[in-house]
Amino acid sequence: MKRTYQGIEFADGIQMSLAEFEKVYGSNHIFNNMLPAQRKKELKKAFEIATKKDISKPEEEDGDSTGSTDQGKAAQTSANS
Amino acid sequence: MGTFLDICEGEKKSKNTGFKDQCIETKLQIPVLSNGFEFASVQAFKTKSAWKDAIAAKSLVPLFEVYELADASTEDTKFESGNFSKITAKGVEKITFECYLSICAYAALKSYENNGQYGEIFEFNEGGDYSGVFAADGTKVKGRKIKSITVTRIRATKDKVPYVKGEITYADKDDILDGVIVKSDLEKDDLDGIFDVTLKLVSASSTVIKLTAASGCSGNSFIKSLVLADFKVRNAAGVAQTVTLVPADEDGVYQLIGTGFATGYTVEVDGVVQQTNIMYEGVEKLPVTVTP
Repeated sequence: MKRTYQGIEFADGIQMSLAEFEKVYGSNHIFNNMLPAQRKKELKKAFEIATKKDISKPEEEDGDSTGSTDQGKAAQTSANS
Repeated sequence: MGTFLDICEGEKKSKNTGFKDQCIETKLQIPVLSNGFEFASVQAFKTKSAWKDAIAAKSLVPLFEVYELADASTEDTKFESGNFSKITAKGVEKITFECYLSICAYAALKSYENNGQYGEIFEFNEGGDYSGVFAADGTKVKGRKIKSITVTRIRATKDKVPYVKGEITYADKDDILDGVIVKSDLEKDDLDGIFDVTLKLVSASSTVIKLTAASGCSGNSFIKSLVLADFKVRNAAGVAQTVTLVPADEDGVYQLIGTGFATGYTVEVDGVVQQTNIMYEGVEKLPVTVTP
């Protein structure tokens, strides 16, 4: 199963802290288009997808490995408007 | 001891002629070169995915749309004396055509001129029908053998745009007697050739390689639909690296994220990328230069 979030395809075996993850991934256009509060939440969601050991198990909260969450769409829409 | 002669064909079997409605193929629109590829059956010949796979494998190469198609065939040559007549040379089937192509497209077409690897041709016609011939087993379908394909580009003149003058000479004008002419959901738009992709480095650090992928003669038509499986990142020793892909942004910039990237790494498009309506192939590996 692929580890994907909003079109980002994560490599298997990513091991880093959330802070490191934010540093590496936080500046790309997927997250840059989000409002700060939304961005932090979505980065955490992406972090969980990228680093979760067994992605065949369901997400703990409202995560969606397809990256097609309503929140994500809302963030994209607001950023594009 | 008598004489023995076995150089003539036996008596030809005549066929019945009861055909009222004539079902006739339409005019050639796109020639498709073949390297001897055979469709497993007529059914496979009618299957779009079989065509797509053969194009991706470079067994088939769709050429360009042809215009001003004309017949330049020659008649059989006969020796006649009194009431004696014998064919001494079989006529040759030959067609001429024009294509209106950029220099880049012409260069691609020219690379197949007298190319020993592609000696057969399938014909896709204007009415959506297309043809090949039965292979020797009577089941498989292959292209018609050609003797040559030649192309020359003519410069623009007062009354005409630059154009490519082409000529195809068939090996046997009568092989069409084993013809297979069909119509299916295969369309002209399915017969685009493979597009070259040029990767261009935007920037690279030890963790992020930013690059664009473009097609077209001038390399300014950005491709934004590539996915992780379409890229291959290798270290200086040629070992494939595991990376994350951030899809292309509005400027067509992809990000490949990993660890330990260094100068000497390369990025390439991995083989022929087969998407629903288009195929891509990388031109060459992109050398990575990491800047601190």
